[in-house]
Amino acid sequence: MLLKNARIINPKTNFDKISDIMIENGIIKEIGENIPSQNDEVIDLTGKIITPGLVDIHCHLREPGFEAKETIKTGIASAIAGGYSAICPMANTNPIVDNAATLTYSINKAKEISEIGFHPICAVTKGFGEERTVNVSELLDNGAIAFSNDGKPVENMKVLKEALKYINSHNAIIISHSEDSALAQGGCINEGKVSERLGLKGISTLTESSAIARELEIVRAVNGRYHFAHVSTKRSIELIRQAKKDGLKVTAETAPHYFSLTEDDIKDYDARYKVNPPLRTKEDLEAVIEGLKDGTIDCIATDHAPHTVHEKLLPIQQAPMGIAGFETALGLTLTNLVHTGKLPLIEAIKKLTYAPAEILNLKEQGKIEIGTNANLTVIDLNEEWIVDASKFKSKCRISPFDGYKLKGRVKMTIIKGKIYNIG
Amino acid sequence: MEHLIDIESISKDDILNIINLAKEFKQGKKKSDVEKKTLALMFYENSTRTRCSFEIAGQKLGMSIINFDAAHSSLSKGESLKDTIENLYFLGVNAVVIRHSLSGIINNVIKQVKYPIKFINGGDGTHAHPSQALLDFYTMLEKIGTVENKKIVIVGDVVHSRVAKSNISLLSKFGADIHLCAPSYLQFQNLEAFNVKYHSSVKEAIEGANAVMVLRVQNERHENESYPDSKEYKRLYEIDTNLLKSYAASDVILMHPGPANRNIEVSSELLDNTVGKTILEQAQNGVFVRMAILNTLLKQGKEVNNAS
Repeated sequence: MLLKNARIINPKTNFDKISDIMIENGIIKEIGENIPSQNDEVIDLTGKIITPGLVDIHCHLREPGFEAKETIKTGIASAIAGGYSAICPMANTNPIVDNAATLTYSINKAKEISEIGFHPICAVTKGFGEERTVNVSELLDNGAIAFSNDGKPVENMKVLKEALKYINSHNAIIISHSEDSALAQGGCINEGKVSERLGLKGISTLTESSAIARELEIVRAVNGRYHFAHVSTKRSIELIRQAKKDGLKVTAETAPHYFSLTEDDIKDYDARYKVNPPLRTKEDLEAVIEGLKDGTIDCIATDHAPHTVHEKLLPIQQAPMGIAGFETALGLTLTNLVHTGKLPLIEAIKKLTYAPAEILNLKEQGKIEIGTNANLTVIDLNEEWIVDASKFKSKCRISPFDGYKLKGRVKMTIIKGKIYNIG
Repeated sequence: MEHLIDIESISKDDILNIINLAKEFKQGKKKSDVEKKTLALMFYENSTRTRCSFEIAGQKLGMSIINFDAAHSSLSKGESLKDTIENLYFLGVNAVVIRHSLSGIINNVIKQVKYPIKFINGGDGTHAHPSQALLDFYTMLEKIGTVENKKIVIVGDVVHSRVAKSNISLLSKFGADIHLCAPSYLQFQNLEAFNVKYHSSVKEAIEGANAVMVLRVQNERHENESYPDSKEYKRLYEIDTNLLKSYAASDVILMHPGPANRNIEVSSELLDNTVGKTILEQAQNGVFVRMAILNTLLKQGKEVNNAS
């Protein structure tokens, strides 16, 4: 198969040039200008961009246990529709992925559906408790890629310290859902002027930043390798920036909603905007963009967190937290970061591909390289489209971005040479 | 004005129309336009004043009143509020007054109910209590003529108070000089949310005040909080005769949305003397203001027979 005349962007090598890509048996065979066709299927991609397949290191697929919200099948379909060739689902299913049997169940299920890179993140502690660390080596041998109690913080610092040392000793990392649950006080939106006016319990920025500060001390003490999930506050970013300056081995992600929406967008107790961490202030949003620019925030993850439409229509205090992220992530990144001139295109692509693949050491992802799997995404940088949540492949057909006009769209997702046409 | 959900969503004219209509009702000059309409009172939180006030207002207007027993309703069987309200509409109910512990519950349900039933917020969580703000405004106009540039001081459990929020919103529209006074643990946590002046000293707050609105210390909402107890509050914030005499304007009026905790936020002696009588007049005005609200919302509607 020959992909012709696309603008190839490969952040790993800083390559940005109109070229052709030859794929044979799902592997990239050749990259270059004017590759002659030898009875291959030729696809002309003039005017389009080819990037490495998008890599999401933070999503929730809900199966097993919450199949009404999403299944591995609908989750994968949604990811592919969003341009993703690799995804890393979190462990907060029922049962929790803290054992090899549940891990194997989900990996086998994914294999039946697609060859998408499917790399589960397993729990740090058994049952997300504050006691025993999971059996790390067994889980790694069965396909775990990293460890996180995402959805819930590890708040016992002794447990975190021991788990981090042990997990790091197996060359794996912990991904932190940093939250002080006492400060979070069961709140539902950012604590600030909006929560005050609406009479809603707030989740202060301190909820996140104080947990990050404490965890950074643990990382420093054990010289650990650690990743912060869904960073949302200005102070969090300042702490991580300083930690990186000090030489700590930490990385961080944010999600598209943190550079696209603020608490001011929450109108009329609309639970579509309810997410954890909550949408913050304009100042925090600007700090997130600054963090993306200067590299404090290494990558963009979706934190795809689907729920049923019925649940998201409940009163905001009772509705669950989460936004369906796969199918809007690229559009939001291009619209709000690239077309606004805040981030160069190649940098934005890096944060969606090469950077997350590096953080989790995903060998066959995040790059365009001869001899590796053809995991690619074809993008129309300038196509304008309206988000229609009712057409999502995800079961979560509700979104705060419903009706948003975005610029930049996924056209194809290519996984091991297999083409999925999108949009 | 389609519904009464909060003060922010109605105009100054809406407010003045209600005030004027209430005055006509109080003077006996106005007859009901809403006889035979049906009102359902849906109170999911305890209430004496507001519930009785709406019930009497409805009766005076010749309406049928359904006292919906929230504790024993199908909601306790898991029926959603939307389904309950749609059923009430098909039973012939034209308007509902809802009191609920969740802020914004009416904003949520109104988007889902597909039928033209009228919604009146009888107090939702820590969000709004618009009929209370309207009756407070009515009382202030009656007693001090205008609120423009008058110093109005709200003292007490501000952070848990939907009454304070609706009053701030209403009084702001009419140019009052609004002051909030509370200990730090009962004050709003995000002061920039409202364009008012904040005080922790009660003496400083009520200096020259034209109206002092005392809020009930809502002990039931203090559970699991890290506050000092009400004895600590009383020492510093209890409003009594001496305090008003020494600091407030000589013709200051005292208001309280009720029910009062005697000798905690306000002295028993003050409640029982002539200054305290305004609080009873507030309750009385509440009936006329609620008559005006019901008459305004329901007068355009067609005859009852929703199900056809």
